[in-house]
Amino acid sequence: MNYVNKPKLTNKNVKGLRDISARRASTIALMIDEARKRGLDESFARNAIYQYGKAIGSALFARVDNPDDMIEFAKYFGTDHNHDIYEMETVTSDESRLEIDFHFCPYVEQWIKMGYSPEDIELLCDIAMDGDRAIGDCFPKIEFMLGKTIAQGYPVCQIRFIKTMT
Amino acid sequence: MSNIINKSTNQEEIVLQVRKAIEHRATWMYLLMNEARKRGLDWDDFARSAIFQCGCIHGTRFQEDINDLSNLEEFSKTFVPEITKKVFEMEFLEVDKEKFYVDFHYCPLVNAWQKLDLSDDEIDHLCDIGMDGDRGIASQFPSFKFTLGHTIAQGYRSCQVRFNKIDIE
Repeated sequence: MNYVNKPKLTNKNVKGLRDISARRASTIALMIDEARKRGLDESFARNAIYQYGKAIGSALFARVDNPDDMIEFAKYFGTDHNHDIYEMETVTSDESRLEIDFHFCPYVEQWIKMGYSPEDIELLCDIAMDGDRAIGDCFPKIEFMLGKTIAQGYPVCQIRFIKTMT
Repeated sequence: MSNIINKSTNQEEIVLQVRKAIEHRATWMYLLMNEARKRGLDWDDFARSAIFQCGCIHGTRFQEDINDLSNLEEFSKTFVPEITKKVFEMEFLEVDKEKFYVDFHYCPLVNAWQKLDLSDDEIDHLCDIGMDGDRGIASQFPSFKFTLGHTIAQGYRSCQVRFNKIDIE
């Protein structure tokens, strides 16, 4: 697999933050490996990461004035230190959609360094994305959708939150 | 009632951001371990093994930045980048070729675990497993011996991290 995952932002601060992201990536991968050796599948990790996302999403839900307002949601999602870590680009932000492209993934970079196969990396990425799925699940009228990902060999991760009509 | 004292003084923006990222990792670590324990795995077995290996990976990477692998003064600069020193509010007590003694006066991992309302005993256990990362780093340097003294997670005001040079044949 030829991954397209080259950072453009390379200042000292963002490098320091990415180093911690890399440690997080190695932690989850190695915990899944060690659990597998002892007979567990990766569902334990999905549950764990989903809980993490639920906590973030619930806090965000409590913070916003109107949980159905995509514009307000967009003010909070992806606007912290993670913006630079993942080199986020807001593609669309309006009343019905928030579309963010990630142009760099420190997790994928770390998993490649650790020698994981493309299949493993795609699975690890999808498990980590359960955190974002959980955030979406905290908002009854917002649905999380994951498009292409860097882990699949594309140059971006397409993070999408769509307002549902129901 | 918790006996853990873990108060930060440095509130620089970048320090707060790095602490937040470390808290994210500490929370993942606990949640992963907790879910694995619910399914019958023993923390001291599977999690120690995983965290130790994490340390080994990062220790191997540190080696690339160090010319003399038996020089603790050089090691200290790679082990503790400037930002890490601020994040953990580290106090360097002794740093030379033979010794690297550092006290941590604040721990963002403990802070993350406290936010999860874990007991002091559980936090102490998580801390010691987390320290397997440092043990893993140290394992990549045969000339160094890592010793952990008392810790914030045990209710002390600092974590005593000590590296000594040892003679190897």
